[in-house]
Amino acid sequence: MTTSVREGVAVAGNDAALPELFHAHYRRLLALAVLVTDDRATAEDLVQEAFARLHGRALADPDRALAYLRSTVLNLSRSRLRRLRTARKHERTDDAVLPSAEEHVLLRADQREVLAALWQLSPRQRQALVLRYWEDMSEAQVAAAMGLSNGAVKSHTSRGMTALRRILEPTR
Amino acid sequence: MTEPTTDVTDRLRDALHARTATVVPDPRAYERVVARRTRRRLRAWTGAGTAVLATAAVIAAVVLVATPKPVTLPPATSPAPAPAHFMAVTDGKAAVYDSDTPSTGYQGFNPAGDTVTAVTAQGDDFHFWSAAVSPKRCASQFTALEHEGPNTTARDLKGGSHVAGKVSALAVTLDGSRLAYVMTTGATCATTELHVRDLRTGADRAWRFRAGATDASLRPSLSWAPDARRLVYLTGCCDVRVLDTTAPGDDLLAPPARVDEIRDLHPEGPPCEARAAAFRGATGQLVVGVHCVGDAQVDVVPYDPETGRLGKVLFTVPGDATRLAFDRSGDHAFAETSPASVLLRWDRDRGASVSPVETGKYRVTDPVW
Repeated sequence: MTTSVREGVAVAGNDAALPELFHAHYRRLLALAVLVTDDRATAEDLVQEAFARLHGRALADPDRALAYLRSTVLNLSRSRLRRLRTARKHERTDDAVLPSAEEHVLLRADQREVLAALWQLSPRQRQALVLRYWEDMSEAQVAAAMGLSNGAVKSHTSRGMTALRRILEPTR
Repeated sequence: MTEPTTDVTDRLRDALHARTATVVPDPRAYERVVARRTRRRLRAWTGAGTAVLATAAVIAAVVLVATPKPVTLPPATSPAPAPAHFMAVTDGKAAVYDSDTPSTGYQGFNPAGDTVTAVTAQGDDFHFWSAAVSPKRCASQFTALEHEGPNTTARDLKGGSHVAGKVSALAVTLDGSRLAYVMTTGATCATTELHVRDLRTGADRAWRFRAGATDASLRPSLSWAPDARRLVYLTGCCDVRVLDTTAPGDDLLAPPARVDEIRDLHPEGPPCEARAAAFRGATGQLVVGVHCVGDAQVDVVPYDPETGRLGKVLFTVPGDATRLAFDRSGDHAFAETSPASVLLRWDRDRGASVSPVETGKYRVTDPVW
């Protein structure tokens, strides 16, 4: 391979690296953002912002480009959700964060039920579960991505799963 | 998935992957990233403080805004960018090529040590699967590959990576939850079956030709709909069949949607037949390669199996087409021709034209991305 992702990332910080970085990671980061915000338009906005911020910085370690992008998306999503929550205290607009009908039309009822339950968790619990079970990350990797300690991640994951079970299996 | 999973962890994984299966980036996302970067630069300028710098920033802003910025990827009205890499079978290996410069070489994988006969890709430029056939036994081995730059991880499949048969085709769903494969099995390794493996639980389900079925052959070409439920394949010479993998029954000839003959391209002309079929990535559009008697080409057109109606021709493949492979966005495709195995590429932003893929000395078959 003459043009690997690593080589592309290696020059992150100048214009030449952006297209390849975009090719390599945009779609996956968008999917991550969709899972943690449950809103397609917000997700696009956050990932584009993460790429815009990355591009303005010279990363010392090119291998960390994806990690940096991922962390930025997660941080931005928490900030965005915080603002949304504050706004909703004054104006109740539940449908503002609901996924579009087109995006959910292919989901089964039990999948929609799980996603609805996931949405009831705190942003950090939701992020921890998404990274753990969608990205298949280890606890240490989740901790690095979220900027938390391993213990905090373990706690968020455990509490998130407990809450999910309570919602999905109330009789147990 | 035939049955909803019950364990909360499995249900969560299933729901998360299903939710992201249909996520396709905004075609103008790259442009917007570039525009944001420009705005950030401008903000940095205007934040410098002095009147001189502010004035210069305004001037610079006017120049920047007024001057069209060259955007190399993608152009203003272009579709989604093509995946950076694709996988194919080369020299008995699962080979990862750079999409733009495949002739420069590939990274080959063959963890099983046998001959790789089929590959498939999830469409995220990261997850790939391969099947390698033993030359001495009626047996195959699957491998799941996670490929990113020079780093590749090979994994076994849940439910076992070994199967008693020779695998000739693979297709994984866009959410990575299910793997379909065509396999010959039995005492003489001559019975054709279609299998679907649930990659989360390891459960495997098979469909077969009924005893005595005529034209009981299955083309080595499979493609999943984005719902991870419907699967399209071709039987015999040219019957396109859409299988609902959650429906009961195990007869390969029984699925309700079937294309016998497609005459719509030339209603008054010679009969036409389907030579290839695939779902067009996350768009969910079923696309059929139609060959009409007397023509030296295959027209690739959208097809609605419920109404039998054909859409506008997407692109035309010279000669015959044995296989179509779309990327996740549905904006890019490979077409493999026969009898001379030539690899062609279609990009939506180029209209209906296709171009040969320059692979240099490498023989590339079964390309997927």
